[in-house]
Amino acid sequence: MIFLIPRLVAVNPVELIAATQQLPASATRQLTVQFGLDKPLYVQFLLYVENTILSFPPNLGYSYEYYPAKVWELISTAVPWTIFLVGCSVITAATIGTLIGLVAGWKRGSQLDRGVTYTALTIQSLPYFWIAIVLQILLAVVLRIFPVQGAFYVTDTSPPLSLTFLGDVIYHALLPMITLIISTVPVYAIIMRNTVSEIVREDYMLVAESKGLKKTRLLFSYVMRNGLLPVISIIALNLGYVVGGALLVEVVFSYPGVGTLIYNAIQGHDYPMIQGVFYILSVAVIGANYIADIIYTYVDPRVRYS
Amino acid sequence: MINPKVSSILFIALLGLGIFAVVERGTTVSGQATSTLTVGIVSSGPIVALNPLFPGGQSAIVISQLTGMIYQSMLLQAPDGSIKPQLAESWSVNPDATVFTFNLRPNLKWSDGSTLDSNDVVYTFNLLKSSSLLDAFNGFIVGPLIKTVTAVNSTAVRFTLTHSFSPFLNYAGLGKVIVPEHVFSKVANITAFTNTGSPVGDGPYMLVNWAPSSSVLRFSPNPNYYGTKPKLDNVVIQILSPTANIPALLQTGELDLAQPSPTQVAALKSLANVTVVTSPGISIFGTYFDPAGLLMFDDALYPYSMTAVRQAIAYAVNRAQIVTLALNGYGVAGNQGQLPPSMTEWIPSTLPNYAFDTAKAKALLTSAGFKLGSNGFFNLPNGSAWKPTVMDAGGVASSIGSVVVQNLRDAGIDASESVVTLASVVQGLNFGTFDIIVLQTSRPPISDFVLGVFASNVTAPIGRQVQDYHGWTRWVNLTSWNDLQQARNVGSFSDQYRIYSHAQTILATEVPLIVLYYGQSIWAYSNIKVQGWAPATQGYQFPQAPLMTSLFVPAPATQVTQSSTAQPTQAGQSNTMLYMGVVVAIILIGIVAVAYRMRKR
Repeated sequence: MIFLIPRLVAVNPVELIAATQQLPASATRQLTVQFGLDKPLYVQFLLYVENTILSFPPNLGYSYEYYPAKVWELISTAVPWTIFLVGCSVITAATIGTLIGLVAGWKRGSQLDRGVTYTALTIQSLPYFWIAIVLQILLAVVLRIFPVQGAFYVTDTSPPLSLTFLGDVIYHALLPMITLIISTVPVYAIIMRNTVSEIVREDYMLVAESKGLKKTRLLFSYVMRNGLLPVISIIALNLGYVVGGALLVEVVFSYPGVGTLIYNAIQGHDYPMIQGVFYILSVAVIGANYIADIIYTYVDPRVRYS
Repeated sequence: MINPKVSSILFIALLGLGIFAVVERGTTVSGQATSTLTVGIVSSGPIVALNPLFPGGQSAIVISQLTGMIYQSMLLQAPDGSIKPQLAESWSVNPDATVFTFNLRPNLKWSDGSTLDSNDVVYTFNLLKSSSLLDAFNGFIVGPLIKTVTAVNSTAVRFTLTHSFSPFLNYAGLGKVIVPEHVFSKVANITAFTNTGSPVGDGPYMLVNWAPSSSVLRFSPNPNYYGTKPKLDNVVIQILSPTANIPALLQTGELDLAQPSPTQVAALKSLANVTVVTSPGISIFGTYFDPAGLLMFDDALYPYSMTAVRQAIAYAVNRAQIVTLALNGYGVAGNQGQLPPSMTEWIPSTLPNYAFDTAKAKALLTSAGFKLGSNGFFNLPNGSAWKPTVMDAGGVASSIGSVVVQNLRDAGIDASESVVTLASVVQGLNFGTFDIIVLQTSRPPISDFVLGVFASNVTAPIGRQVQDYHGWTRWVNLTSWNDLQQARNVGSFSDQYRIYSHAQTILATEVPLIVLYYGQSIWAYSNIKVQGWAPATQGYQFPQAPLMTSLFVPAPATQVTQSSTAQPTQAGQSNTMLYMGVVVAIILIGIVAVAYRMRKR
């Protein structure tokens, strides 16, 4: 499917390059041969299977849109930025959202619960690129707390991995992170709140309460541990999509991540890039789900023993 | 992650990182005072190669802007259109325009100190001859034209052409940079050459820090540059996404100079610290490419195959409105002779004028047999409905497309807009599967190029691909075609003018396509920080040497290397940082308290 879907649109990507560079017919033909697009589709597919699935490390080929760059070079440059941005955001949002949902579910029906639920639902309904733009204007342009965009200050001459450079990178990532955290905290909070609301009605909670256990122990050892199960699934899924990036946030903040690569690749019918990114994305999602399954066995003894 | 204690620790770690970042950014590091100009260049994706001969899949304009800092062409076009010396200090041409001789400046050097002489010029043009892929940027005409290119002596180069070709001076002297033979000759495959590391160039600057895909390129003055030494210590170019908020970046001081889109100009003009300037076109290796908006017809498709229909649409489209609404006034309405305003001396005054006139458009359609239906829209002469689709690739083209559709509907043409990807637009043009397309392009100010870019003596039936972009309109007029061939063989201005006037008259009468507008190149800079945009250099633009050697940034005594662009931001930032630090500290204390309670339990 990764191979076939991009090719369903009957567009020759070389024609796009030819048109934008005003290439003559001879040069267009030369590029078509160079990219292997003159071969029948099944031959292209067999080459794809051979180079990607049967090779290690996979040979993802040259990007059409960024020729002469190789797909792997482009992805490997963009992936660390995205993993850092989205990975930190997912972990932080999951932590905050889980705690908020835990408290709201524990105090179900209270003013706090209603406040949390209404606020979470409101934020959840806001498009996250809109949140990004509002935060950018407020915190970067008006208050000037954060930089408007980018991943580090352009005049930074510090060597990579120096403290100054790392601080600069984190400083630039804070605003996109805050955007992603604000937009995803409600997801975790609502799931956790609903799960906790169910758990507190369970018989074992009644027994535990009857035994005179402290409320904090009930909350963290009984409620939270059981309530985390669905949250783990969401975290695993989101961590899998980390590689896919947060496209619109990357676009708003001009952040050099994978999302922008995917967007441009689809626009430019850059088959190798589309194939490469989605191949990596598939591996990441499968891997994250596998890890989630393993974690499940530790968190939920029922899964382990069955 | 699962354990609340672990989660809390992770959360605290992240917050700690945040505080560290804030503190670290606030730290100033003493260093040598430098003057740095930060320039924003918009690109749809990362820059992966800096090959001045072949941009690959990247934008040719962006690559020419970046490599234009490093490499120079033999000649330079001034904003008034005149041709000035650059690497070549003089040139000559024989009477029948078959032999051109360029005389390089004496004692030219590459940035690595080696000698730049006529052998480098000979090598460069032989390279262009060797592959059609390398003859980019202005039409792939130069390579096949050159019969021989020889070094007369260390500074003189003689080009002997296969036939008379008077525009050769413009094609070869402008828009083609000279590359170092001692570097490029060691490269096995020039089209795959990324030119990373320290490219050896001849321009006023040299690249000192960049890695492929990095969004930051740092340049410093080339000590071996022959001309006026640059006043800036550093030029840092940041690659911006097309959606970058350029007004905000200039306002906050994160950028000093950038090329905004017309839609951002209104916001920029409201900023006191920003000056907006224009230049005639986009600078590509010593010459200006005129941005233009075209309305392309499939001239082989009925009813666009009818001249009266194309003329009616030319009357129906309000080009002045397009310039006002879609370009915020930064442009001029197109004329049907196709040549831009920078070439006024070539435009005859007798060309048919298609001034906006809806009534005239309707009259032309009526006289061509189209009948107005009960819904207020014209039907085809055979009575069937006529519903043309105006295709565009989004962005500014979509703004233009919307105006065009409204204009056509006002004239009784039931048009609708279709926004597609650029790839689909190109596909439509190649195979003739479209009615009308809004196409944005840019063209060098050479009559031969502009009049010939969509001229072809052959075409292909609809559904089959045309040979290349020359055939996109599927309009074949051998008289016009022969005019262009003939003009290449004459040298005098009067003869060329006569022939080009004839070709323009045919184009203006037949209307194979409509020139909607000629745009301008817009730049905005921080007038607090950037100095030296003197009247003498106005019109020159980034990265042309006359501008880039004039600009300077006053370096304050305490300015630090590390965060020069952050200066305006940091001034108002420290207090907010303090408040933020306090808030973060309170949150941290809360989290630690929760963790402590859990541990105690």
